[in-house]
Amino acid sequence: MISFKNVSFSYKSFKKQVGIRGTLKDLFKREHVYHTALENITFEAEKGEILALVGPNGAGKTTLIKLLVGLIEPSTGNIDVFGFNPYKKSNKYLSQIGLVMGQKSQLTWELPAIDTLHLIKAIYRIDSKDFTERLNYFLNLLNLKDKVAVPVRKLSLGERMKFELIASVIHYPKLLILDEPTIGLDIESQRAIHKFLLHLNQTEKTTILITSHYMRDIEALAKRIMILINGQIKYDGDIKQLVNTFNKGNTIIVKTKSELPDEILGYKIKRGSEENSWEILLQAGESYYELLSYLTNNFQIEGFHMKETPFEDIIFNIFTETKESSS
Amino acid sequence: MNKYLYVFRNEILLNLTYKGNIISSFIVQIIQMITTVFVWRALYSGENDIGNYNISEMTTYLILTSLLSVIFSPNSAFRLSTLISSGKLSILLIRPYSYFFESFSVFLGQKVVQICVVFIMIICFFLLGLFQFSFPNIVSILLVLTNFILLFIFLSVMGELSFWLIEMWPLRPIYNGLLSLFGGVMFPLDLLPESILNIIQFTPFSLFGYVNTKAIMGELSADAMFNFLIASMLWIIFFQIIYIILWKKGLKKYEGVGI
Repeated sequence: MISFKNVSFSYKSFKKQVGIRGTLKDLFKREHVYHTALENITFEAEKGEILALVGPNGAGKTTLIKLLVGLIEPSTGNIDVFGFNPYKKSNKYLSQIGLVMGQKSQLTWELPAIDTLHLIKAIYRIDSKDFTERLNYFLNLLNLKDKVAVPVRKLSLGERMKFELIASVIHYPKLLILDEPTIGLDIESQRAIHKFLLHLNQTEKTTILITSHYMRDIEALAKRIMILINGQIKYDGDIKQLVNTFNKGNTIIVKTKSELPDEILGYKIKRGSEENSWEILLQAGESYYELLSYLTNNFQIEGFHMKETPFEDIIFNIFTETKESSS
Repeated sequence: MNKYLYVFRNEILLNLTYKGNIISSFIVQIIQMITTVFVWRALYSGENDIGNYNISEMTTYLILTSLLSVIFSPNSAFRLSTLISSGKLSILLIRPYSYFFESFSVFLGQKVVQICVVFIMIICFFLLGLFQFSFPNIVSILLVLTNFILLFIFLSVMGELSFWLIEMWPLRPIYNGLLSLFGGVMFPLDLLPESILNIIQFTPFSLFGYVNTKAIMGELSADAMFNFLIASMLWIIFFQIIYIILWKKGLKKYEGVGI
């Protein structure tokens, strides 16, 4: 359905020289610099998939989205989405996609959201009855019933984002692209948006591609994750597998009535943040049965629990490792 | 309803929410108009005619060009610049419609409100007895409409410069200056020597101001009207070609910037 084959994108920009003298020089002759934003990107996505695109700032996520919606043409390689070349921007293709940008609004600021929605209805030629039903359904789902006539500038950020979502999906897009849809939102709005997207994905088999810096979004929505670093795909696959591969280990926190030695059965014991609590790092996949029985037999244990490495930390480790290895 | 009709409708709604903007642009224009009229009245002291104009013809001319210059203002040229700097252009580009017709609908939506105000004011001035003119015929209405379309295409080409310029605002005083001078907002162009008039009167600015005013006043001969109509159409074709070329180049440039 979506297929990128060896796609690269590079662009030309100018070097700005420093100081008055440099600026004057720039007036006459500017130095060109070529940047490679994406390098050799190959991937495919199937109908109904939710794909998360993750990467540090400047990794090329937005460029990839621009290629996907046809705003830019790949320097090399081929892109095919439902049999269309996005860059040709045929109306038939454009009417099958929806785009939400967390930092850019498609609603007219001074008018109520309903005016933009009516405009979108006309642009995408949605049947009137269908439009009203679908709109009411979404308004109920997102709890926006009484906000529909309020000028967009008077809505809260959360309410505005929900309307942005409706505006991007009201025309039954087969592919929905979300660029940081939850930026700056409170937890309640974030969860409402997660729920809405999952619902849409399940009932209409909408393919969703989402980028976000909130790992909560990724965990709540996607099964598949693609990590983009310096314009290259560093990982593409199942999220669970990613956790298993890159999780260096989990920590057991033990509470005791007495002191513990520095080392037990070859495990290093670290003092925890509370009094008489101890942290023991386990390798990923390692069985801790032996350790626990040893502890319970030899010490007075008050309790213990397992602390899994947060998803965010795993992603952070991948980001920093690749940065270090490339520098 | 057609998609472009909706764009048009929303633009009218939007313009009506900016009531203050409309009122203030007319107030500024009326103040300028009053100044020009008084200057001319002073010039007339003791004289019956200046050029082919007696004092009441001159007043009619000045009031009409002033009102027309509100409609023929360069505002629409700056829309693209805002869309580019806010990145909203991307949103419009990925909608299944043509940006050119979308912006024409926006242009019409903006103008319709202004045209209504101008129309009401012309009627008011007429009832006050400040105006003298015979009502325009069909050809002159056609000429004004062609000039109106030329305005849109001219401003669109001007707007396309925002693909290359970071600051667009200096273009506004330049446009207004040229409209005052070549458009005959300060004085009727036919006061100029004929050799100069012959060149200036076919420029877009003259078509926007001087020619439109004369056409509405019903003071153009059939021959002159025909010539202006041809000139206006040739300009439309010329600027349309420039528009298409710049649009292609501009979009290529835009692609390098953030979404």
